[in-house]
Amino acid sequence: MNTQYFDRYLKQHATLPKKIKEVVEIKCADRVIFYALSDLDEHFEKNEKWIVVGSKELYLFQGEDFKVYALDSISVRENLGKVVNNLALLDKSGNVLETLWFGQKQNILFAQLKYLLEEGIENINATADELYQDGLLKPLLKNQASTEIKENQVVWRLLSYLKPYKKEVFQGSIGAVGLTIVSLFPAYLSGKVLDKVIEPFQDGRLDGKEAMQIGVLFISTLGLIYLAKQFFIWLRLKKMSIMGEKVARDLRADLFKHIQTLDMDFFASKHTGTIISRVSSDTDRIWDFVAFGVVEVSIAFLTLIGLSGVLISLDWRLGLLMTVPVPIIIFAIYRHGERMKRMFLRCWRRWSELTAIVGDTVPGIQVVKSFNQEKKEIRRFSNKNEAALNEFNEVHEAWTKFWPSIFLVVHGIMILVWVMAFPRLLSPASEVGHISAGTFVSFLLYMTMFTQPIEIIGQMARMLNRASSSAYRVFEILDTKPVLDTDESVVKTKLKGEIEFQNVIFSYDGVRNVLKGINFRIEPGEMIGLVGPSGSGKSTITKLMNRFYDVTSGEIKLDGMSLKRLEIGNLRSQIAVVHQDPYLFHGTILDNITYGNDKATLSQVIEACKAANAHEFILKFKEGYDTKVGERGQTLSGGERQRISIARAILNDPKILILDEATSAVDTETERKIQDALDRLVEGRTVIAIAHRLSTLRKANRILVVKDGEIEEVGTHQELMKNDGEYKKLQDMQTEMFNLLHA
Amino acid sequence: MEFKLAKDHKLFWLKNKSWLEVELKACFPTSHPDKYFSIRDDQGQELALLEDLNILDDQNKQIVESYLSFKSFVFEVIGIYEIEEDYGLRHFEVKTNKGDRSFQMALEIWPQVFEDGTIVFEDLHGEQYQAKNLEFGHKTLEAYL
Ligand SMILES: Nc1ncnc2c1ncn2[C@@H]1O[C@H](COP(=O)(O)OP(=O)(O)OP(=O)(O)O)[C@@H](O)[C@H]1O
Ligand SMILES: [Mg+2]
Repeated sequence: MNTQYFDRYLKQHATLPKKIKEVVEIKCADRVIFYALSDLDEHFEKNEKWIVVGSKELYLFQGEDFKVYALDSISVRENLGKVVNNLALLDKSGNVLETLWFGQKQNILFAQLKYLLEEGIENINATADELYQDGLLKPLLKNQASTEIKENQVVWRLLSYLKPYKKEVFQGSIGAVGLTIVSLFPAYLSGKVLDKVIEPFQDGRLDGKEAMQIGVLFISTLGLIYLAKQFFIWLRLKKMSIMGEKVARDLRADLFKHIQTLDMDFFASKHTGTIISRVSSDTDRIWDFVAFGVVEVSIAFLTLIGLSGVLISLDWRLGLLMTVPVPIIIFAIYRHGERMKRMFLRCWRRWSELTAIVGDTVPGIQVVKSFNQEKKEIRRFSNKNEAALNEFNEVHEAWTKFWPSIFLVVHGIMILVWVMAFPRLLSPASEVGHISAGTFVSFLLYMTMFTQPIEIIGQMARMLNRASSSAYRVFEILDTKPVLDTDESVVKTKLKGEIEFQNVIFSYDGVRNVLKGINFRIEPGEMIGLVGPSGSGKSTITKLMNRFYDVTSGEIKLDGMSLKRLEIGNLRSQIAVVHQDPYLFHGTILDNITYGNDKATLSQVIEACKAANAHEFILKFKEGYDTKVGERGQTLSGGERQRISIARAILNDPKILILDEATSAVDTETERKIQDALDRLVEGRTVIAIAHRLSTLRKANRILVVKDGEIEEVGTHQELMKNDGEYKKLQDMQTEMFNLLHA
Repeated sequence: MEFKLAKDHKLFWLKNKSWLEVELKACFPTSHPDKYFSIRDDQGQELALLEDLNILDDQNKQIVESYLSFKSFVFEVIGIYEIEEDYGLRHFEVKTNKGDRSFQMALEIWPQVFEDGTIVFEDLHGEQYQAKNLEFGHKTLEAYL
């Protein structure tokens, strides 16, 4: 169970406290049907007042206080504020008995409580605990995958992508280690040659011929070493860059595959631009890091360790002087990196604000131009651009201050080494503590090698920060789980087309309820009209049917089976939706028509297009069915796109057909054509048609009038006209409008 | 205009000698919080538009103000103890004028900074928090602005 969510985030009990449950069940001999927490008092401070609904009574518990009201003696009144809300219990004559205050977190539960108290407790189909936990956790779970990972785990996880490429990693590492070891030799040899060959030769202890021989050997060894060094470099670069590309490819593939499985919620909450950048530039940065970062940093550390060992063994006093400060320096670099991470986060924010303007203005350019707002947009952009510049400059500021100081320290140590070494160099060879010129030359050469790895670690720290934040963003998507929950026993089935909504409450954001308890039942083969004012929730009802979203509470059944038990792909392939503003992919008209059904034969395609009244206009294009549409292709009009989308629906031969406002935005002639197409489409299926022009719905078996998230009226056109209700009002308004336009 | 407030802070408006349950909706709750209120009935139909609270007499103004102080209440953040990035969300532990509270923001949603320096946080549940003068925790917050 998700108790950690309650403890850490919500800071309230994960279930009704046991003591209260016992009072209800034992002392009052009742059962707990529903409960909720009033988490604020009338001063909006924290409070804990439990409301329990039993079979005939409502109980209130606060501390030791305990009150009971008979359910049939009270009514409720809701009062919603921006952040704090209340539900009042009223007596029969409308006097306030209790005011139950609650914050937004309890919102869903109180909406359910209100619905329950108004419509009766029979309408419940889950246990009290389930309802309570579902209601509270939904907004959290929507945003959070079930796993919780920390930033430093990101790097490990990234490394796990290397697993399939063990061979490359191994070869690359050989290159890296070999390079490190080989790099250490020249300095050592040089010192030795100085001490063992050149000095004795100058002192006359070694004859010229022998010295020359050793010299030749030394130089050829050096040559071989450099050859080996280049080989190792080649091995490392080749293996690692190839592997880096493969890792990036795997990440992109995983990412795209995963994105396809995510819910509508995910796409509503993320800008298209940020999703694109995660698939493209974030994976690219990760490539950089995997290909070079990982290896470079390991080499740098290896080199530092190797160097330290060699230096200490050459001369332990000077060696220690050089090596002891290194961990301190690296720690400083690490600390600096942590600070930079925060700065990068800010930079990234400014950056996305900047790109958001581009992403906002370019698609909206028509509006910008027609309102002559180019100057304003330019100003808006340059403001953000400046802000980004400032942020980046701050990063560089911190950067340029830090690194020179680090190198000041490093060079200070080098000076110190000279200071310590000089007297010892001048001392007689026999004295303890004497250091030979050769040893010191080796030492000096090693010392110059010391700064490079530190520099690399510094640069890599920056790369690592960037790559790990990229990886973080990539994993964030990979870890987003689809929130649609399914029963374990999903089934595939051929639908008959019966649809039933039971007490469906739905909220997109967990804050405002868009549907407030919808009940209806549609028989197979019926044609149902859905009408109502704009924003009343018509499209939302249809989106729930093909499970773009899950209901907040209540249940939807198809053929008597809960929607959650049907396999989603199977479900959606049997429901076709024709949107008012259909989306066509970049590709040919043919591609778009066969989108859901690529097995369709060409004659089926033409037949479908004829039925959709699309055949004629398609043939007017030079390329006919092969005309490119979508981005940069032939641009189709709204009515044309709609007819293509109808053809697409016909070809799919769905059992349930949903037409969302199919005829509201086109001229009369096109409307008639679409209307004809629809009439042909309707045969043998359950059809739900949302229409703004009520004339479209004369043929409907029944019309549901939706208002403010509730079903206000049901009936045929004639019945509803007689009713003198909402439908009549809408009809009169349209007639008036028509007369106005045609007067 | 005459108003009265019930115990549960429901507002009633005297219209044609009878008390009508109404809702007062600020038209510009953020940019001009004290101007233009739409008086709406329980069906959401606008009954009248109140341009400015100052046209009310003292008593009614007080009633409406006390109503609005509930309707537009947001938690005032006084200090920030901790901000932690968890997976998929950002977790805040804060001190407010109504005691210590915690809330979570989606990673894509950032605190909004207004020109006068007010910072507004909106959490996953739609709860709103506002910070004007922080007593502590500036540093913690800075990285997230
Ligand atoms: N993705 C979404 N996220 C949040 N709220 C939404 C979303 N889609 C719609 N809404 C809100 O839900 C309510 C109902 O919207 P819906 O699209 O169902 O209305 P409708 O009846 O189809 O209206 P219209 O006739 O204008 O198409 C509206 O208030 C709308 O603002
Ligand atoms: Mg709609």
